[in-house]
Amino acid sequence: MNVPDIPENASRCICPNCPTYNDCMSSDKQNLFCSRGKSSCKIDSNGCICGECPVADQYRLNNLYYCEP
Amino acid sequence: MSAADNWWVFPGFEIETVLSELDLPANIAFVPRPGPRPEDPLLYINGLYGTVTVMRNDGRADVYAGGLLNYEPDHKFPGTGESGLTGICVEPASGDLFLSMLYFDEDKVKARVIRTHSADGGLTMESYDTVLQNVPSIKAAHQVQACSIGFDGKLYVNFGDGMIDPKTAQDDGDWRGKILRLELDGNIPDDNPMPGSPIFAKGVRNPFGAAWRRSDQSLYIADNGPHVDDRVCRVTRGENLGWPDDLRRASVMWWNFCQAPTALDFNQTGSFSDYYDDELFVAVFGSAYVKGPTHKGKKIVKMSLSDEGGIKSYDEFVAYTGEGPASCCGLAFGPDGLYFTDLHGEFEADGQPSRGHLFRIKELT
Repeated sequence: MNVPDIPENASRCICPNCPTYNDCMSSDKQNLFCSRGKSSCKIDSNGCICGECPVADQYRLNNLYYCEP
Repeated sequence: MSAADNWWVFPGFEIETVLSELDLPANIAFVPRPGPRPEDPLLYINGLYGTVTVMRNDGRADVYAGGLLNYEPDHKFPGTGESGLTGICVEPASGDLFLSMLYFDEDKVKARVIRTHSADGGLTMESYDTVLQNVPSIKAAHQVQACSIGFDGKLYVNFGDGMIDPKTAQDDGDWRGKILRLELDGNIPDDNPMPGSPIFAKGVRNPFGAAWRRSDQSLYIADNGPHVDDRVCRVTRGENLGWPDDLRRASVMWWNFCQAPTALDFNQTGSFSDYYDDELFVAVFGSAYVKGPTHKGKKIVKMSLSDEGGIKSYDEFVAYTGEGPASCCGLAFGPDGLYFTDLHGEFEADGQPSRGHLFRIKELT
């Protein structure tokens, strides 16, 4: 199911709480990767919390690491 | 209005608030044979961010230990804030506590288990020994979880898979994704399934809870799936519990839609009437931080297990009806009812201690 890029979803996004979220993502204020696509930053996979996200729950997303290139 | 009023409970029972102002109360451990004096310890509660509270027979509560984490938690729920001091159990003979937790070794996140000692009858921690350490971990869920002492007197420790690589749960050289069996000093028992290895069973993902059932002398765990197949497992010696290939393997039951089971316990000490004898009660937390009632978690469910290994009945036993972030987390039967904690409580300001509660459910007579 597609995730609309709307303020409500961005505000509920938990990407910044994730152990994989890094300074590069933070400096660019990147989030909502499940809607906006992968990150432009270099990523070390340090775990994924997409399965706990209320956005993923609402849109019935089953995958992990939406941020990963 | 009492915090207990924010919970619906199964007909024939009532909920009362026992303690308030607890900082992220995660799990509960009763003293197996509490002393007779009013000041003797009755139970302990571990706060996720490194505190242990003792409650005495007379209901008074004090800090048993604090500052047990060597890093500053970040209060990010869901996410990196869902980690810290997770497991607790009481050693019956000495009254010592076993505690499982994260720690930082320079910039690396690791897991350890410590055994605490008291010089005042269990009211404050005087010192501790490290039983197990240096296990790679993650500052998030899937860390080291429950610890328990089996009917054989050994220490059992639930380890999450570390979140990054699920295949660790099948690697016999890695303690993540395993149920470990140890002597109380951390040595490996001679009669473990694999000689020289602490592994009792493998193939678990995020096994928050552990409980021992008297009727079959077995360990049961609550394990959390990715987006499907949360489950309750009966853990047998040397068993492969399936993760990451099949979370339904060896499961007593599973939730297809995840509910996030945390602590669990059996009614086996006369806390409720015989009608509920040997029934299993499981706290299902739901999402890590959600205000108000929700479709996922924030409940306690009860089950009657069948002799064939599945379940005969399933009921919601407690459900949250308030507007706060409270959710069922710790759960344990005590001498006079079923106790549970609500982790976040009714209110939590960013970066401030939560105001969690300990509740007791009593059967009406």
